[in-house]
Amino acid sequence: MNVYVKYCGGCNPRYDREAFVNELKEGLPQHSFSAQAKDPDVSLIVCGCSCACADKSGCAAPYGMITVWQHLDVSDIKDRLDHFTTIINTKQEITQ
Amino acid sequence: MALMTGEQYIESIRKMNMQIYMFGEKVENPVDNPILRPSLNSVRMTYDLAQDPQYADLMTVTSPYTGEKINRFEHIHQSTEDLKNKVKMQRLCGQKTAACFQRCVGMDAFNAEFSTTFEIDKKYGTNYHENFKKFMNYAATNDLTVDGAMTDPKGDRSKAPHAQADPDLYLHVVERREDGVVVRGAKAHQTGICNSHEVIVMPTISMGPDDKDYAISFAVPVDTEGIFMIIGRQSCDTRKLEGTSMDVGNCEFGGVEALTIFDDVFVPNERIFMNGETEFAGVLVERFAGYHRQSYGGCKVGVGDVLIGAAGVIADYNGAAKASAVKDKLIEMMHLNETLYCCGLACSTEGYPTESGAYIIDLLLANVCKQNVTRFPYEIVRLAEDIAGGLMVTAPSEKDFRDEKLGKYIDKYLKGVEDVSTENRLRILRLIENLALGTAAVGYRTESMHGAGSPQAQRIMIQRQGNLAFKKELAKKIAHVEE
Repeated sequence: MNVYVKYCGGCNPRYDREAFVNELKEGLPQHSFSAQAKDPDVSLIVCGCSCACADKSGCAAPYGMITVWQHLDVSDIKDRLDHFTTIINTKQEITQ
Repeated sequence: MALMTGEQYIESIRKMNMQIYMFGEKVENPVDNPILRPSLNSVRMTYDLAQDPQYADLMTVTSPYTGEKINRFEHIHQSTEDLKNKVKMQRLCGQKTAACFQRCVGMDAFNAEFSTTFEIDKKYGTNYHENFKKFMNYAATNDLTVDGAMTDPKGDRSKAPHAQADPDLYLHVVERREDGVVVRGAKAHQTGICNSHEVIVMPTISMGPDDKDYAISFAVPVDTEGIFMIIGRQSCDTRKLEGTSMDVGNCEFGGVEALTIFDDVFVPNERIFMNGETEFAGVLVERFAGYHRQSYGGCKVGVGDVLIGAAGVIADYNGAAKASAVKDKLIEMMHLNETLYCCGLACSTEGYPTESGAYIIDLLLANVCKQNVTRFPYEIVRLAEDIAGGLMVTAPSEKDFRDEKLGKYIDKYLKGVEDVSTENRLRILRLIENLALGTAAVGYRTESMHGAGSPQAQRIMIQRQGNLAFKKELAKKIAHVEE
């Protein structure tokens, strides 16, 4: 699944946003994480605090958006991406 | 043109023909001068961050006037959200440079000019707003750094501009031509002007009808004939000439100020934004000052983040991090720093649209913000010095540390905890020194006091806007006072 990673501006982050995304890249190699918005399936909005003020315009993706504002376990993101993957696979089965 | 990269910015400055003087000599290559280069690197950071996906959300914005992606430093605030994002961006830039990154004055001048020129045109049918918008879009499209020049030398403070013994103590028009005007005067404390492509000149105080020639505002390239800069000295500045990085404290970034002379400079009509409308001089000053007082609730907080971090690191290196008194001091530093941030965000949240559509901050809260900035960084510095210990000002030089004979003794006797090198301990101490009383103290301390107006200027505004009469009525009502 292509995941577009959009960061907030990072003025006062309460955790290391880049390290978090690197954890996702290492822990979920089946998915592609990129800061380039090129044909994404899902957008991952990585905000540094609960204000979550990232500009989400231009982040629309076919299977939706996940907004994160604190450090989560890789498994949390995996579960949510798996959910989207299931939807995609189901749609493909119906289409076939 | 798209956003410039940091490297493109550096090269664009290199191509300019600025007249810069320092230590009695003309600086032939300011870009590579070791004293000036760190300040250029600070401005460069505003370009580099705009290219980085981790920070682009704050650093860039779509221009409502051209539809192009521009750097936020050239943006006219369209909402309270924009005002808040400005403060957030400034905190970020302060964190990344631990210095003054210089580009805020231009941004604040942009926003003050936008609404003021609109209102002058409305009253007088002049063409200043269109002039300004044309300049603004040119600067934004080409991603230029623009300095905002306000502070005149002012001479005898008890006298108006026109009444000074020397008429040049406030910048003024000395000749009016069909195609423009010629100006003479000086602007003091010009932060970042030698790293800017253009300069917006504004009057420095409210003016009366007799000050017509002094009510002048315009923009010109910084290398226009007749403009020259004399760089201001900073504490410990010549350490940068020693060829060592440790003793400088922050070897990569810094700020810079210059006394800037306008020696009969020609300004074409299309670059004039005010010319004799004396009653608007005060409006422009008040708005610029208001925006700039908001700015300090962001930039100083970012620098404060670095200083607090440095204090935390030296506590670790000294083996003192677990002491409750040290922990409490660090908490106090964070409390003070976040309070400043609260003020910057609060005056933004309470912002409102001017007639021009551009948003302005709440002036009372912006002045409260800056008033706190005149105090809290000093307390944060005091606590950092307290935690650091005296070694931050008594440690031997890097040359001694590298010396074959002396180095081993310094390494042995100035070591802190076992698993941290003496060099790292000294590096952090030098950073604290740099911010507390070295080159960066210009920006973090004295600029906090006097930049964007000295403390008394804010107190006057707080008195004007604080509505004491309303508060008295509240008290009388609660106390059932009948008069």
